[in-house]
Amino acid sequence: MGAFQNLIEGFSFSFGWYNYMMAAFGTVLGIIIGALPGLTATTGVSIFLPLTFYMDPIPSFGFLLGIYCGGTYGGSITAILINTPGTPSAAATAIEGYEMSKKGKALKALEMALYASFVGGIISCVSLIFISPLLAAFASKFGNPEYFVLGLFGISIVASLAAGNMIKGLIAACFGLTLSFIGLDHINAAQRLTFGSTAMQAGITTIPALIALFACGELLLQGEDIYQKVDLEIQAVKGEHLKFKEFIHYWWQMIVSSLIGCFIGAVPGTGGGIAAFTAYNFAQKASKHKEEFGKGTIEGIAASEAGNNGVTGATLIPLLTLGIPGDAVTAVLLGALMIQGLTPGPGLFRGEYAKTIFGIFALLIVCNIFMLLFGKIGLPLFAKVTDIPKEILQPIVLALCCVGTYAASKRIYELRVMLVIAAVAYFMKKLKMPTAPALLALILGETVEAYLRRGLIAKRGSLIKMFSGRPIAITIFAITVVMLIFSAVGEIRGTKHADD
Amino acid sequence: MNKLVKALDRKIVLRASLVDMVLGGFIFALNLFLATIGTSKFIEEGYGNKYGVSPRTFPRAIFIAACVLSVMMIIRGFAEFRKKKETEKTVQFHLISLAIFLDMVLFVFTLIPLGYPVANFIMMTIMYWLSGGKKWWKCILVAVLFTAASWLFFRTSLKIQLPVGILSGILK
Repeated sequence: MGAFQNLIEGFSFSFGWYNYMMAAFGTVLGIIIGALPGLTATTGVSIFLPLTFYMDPIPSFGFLLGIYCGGTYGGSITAILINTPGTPSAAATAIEGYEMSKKGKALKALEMALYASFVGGIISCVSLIFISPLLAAFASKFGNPEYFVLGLFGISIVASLAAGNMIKGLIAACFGLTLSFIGLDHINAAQRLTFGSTAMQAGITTIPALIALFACGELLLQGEDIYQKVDLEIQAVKGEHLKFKEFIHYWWQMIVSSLIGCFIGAVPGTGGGIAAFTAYNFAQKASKHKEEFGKGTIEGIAASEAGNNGVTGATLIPLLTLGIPGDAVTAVLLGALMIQGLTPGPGLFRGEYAKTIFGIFALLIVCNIFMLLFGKIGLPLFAKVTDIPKEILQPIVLALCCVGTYAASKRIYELRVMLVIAAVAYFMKKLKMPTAPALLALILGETVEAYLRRGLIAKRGSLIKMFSGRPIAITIFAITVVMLIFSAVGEIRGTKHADD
Repeated sequence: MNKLVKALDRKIVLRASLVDMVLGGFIFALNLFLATIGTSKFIEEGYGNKYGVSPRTFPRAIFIAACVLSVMMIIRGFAEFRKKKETEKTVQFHLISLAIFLDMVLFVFTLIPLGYPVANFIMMTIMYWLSGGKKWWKCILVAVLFTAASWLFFRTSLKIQLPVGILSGILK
């Protein structure tokens, strides 16, 4: 079946007012969350994930992907108006956007950010639709050793790249794996680290862990911001509208930046921030007006926004085909997939599951269209969101975390788990230890271990025999080792450079 | 900033390298215990294991890996610690974070006895003041509106019964 046919089937399968309404609601919510300084798309998806627990997969993903796309774009609003990126991926946008705002061209900058985000998002969706079935077909040849090393690859790469401190990233991954051991062993039901507690036999589920790691930990950290006297100067949404001629002038720039975003997004452990800066730097080098960069050029906004939204679809490629999330937000989406009973891998692209997956792809396109529509209509309104006082916002976020965790399982045990992990997450964030590897390791831990044990049992307990005659597994393992070495060398060089 | 926030303006400032070393030491001790005694004591061997592959195999490997990584963390922290103190990064732990955490603990322990509406109202009220709010009417408005809206949303849209606690007579 061709990609177009898949997409048409996806659209027909996902078509329905409820699905579209959830996608629209998610997109609006995402833009608001992205526009609020301190709240990221990852936090937004984490907080609202429990609400999707009782929904069908299509509306549930329409809602979550809407938050993801909207959140990625929404970050640019605060970046342009108050020089504070709402999300890390909007940091590059702030360089040019705020300068433009100071010159009274905020409206033009915001509109360019919106259109570039849309272009990036759509190109990313197209890459997802075309590439993922091919990768899934290739992955169907994989067995236990390949899946084991793939899981290991995903965890170690995210751990080593996400932090800027490889050791701490890997320790965070070990913490996540340790959490995944708690409960009844999935192969022979042996009790592991339950300490005689019946409640702990159920193990550590995804929802309390991700809410604690990405929302509660952040809330505890941001509580301290009250002592920092920061006077934010909010620029007004004024000036001329972006002309069609100006938009078209940078079409090539936007396509190249989107493709950069797609490529980076498909590599695990990267994310929107890296994509935006890479696209921005590339645009600067390729530009005929290099001297204008940093002083408020619309070209820079087009590049960084197309780059960071170019990640949104592409990051789902390794997630859906191989079960390896590209960044923190897709690690959360992996949890959402598991909750819905959708196990990532080639199986998702066959039979009944394929309809659901292509339906989700279709909704991702719809979310980008909604982002363009709502962004255009509600721009002045979303700009006002940056003004919401913290004393209103923080109690609501805290309440959403707590009620969401409880509602997902209706057990106090889950809330207690959330409390413990939230305390750990606070210390992790304080010590610059990334939380994404911990969540990823918790989610992937069970399957990685299962593949290892099954693979070992099949080869009479020999690790060497398990990998002999498996060139793909050996290649992935070699890539993992090489990337870890590169990461370590880069870090040592960075430390020495800082010392000098 | 309100009086509560001012009263909680206490913090501990520590050298980042020192914290890294202490944390590294803690992780090392914990994982060493888990890799040796902990694995045999808290992880069952299970039945039907073949070729030495058991529920203890993978956890033990990870505990050992964490031990090695924590030693690396201590070494790195020590190297930083020996450098000049002026260039050293610091880590600050504020009392307000503990207060927010205790607010969450309060919610968890009052959810069943008091019920969601009351427990959530209390938690949001405390959080409002901890976030620097100053006006009572605003605090009550936010807490009441959110509690009522979320209660209705979970009950009608998601069909989830949240605990009613002391309000069982009214809400049932």
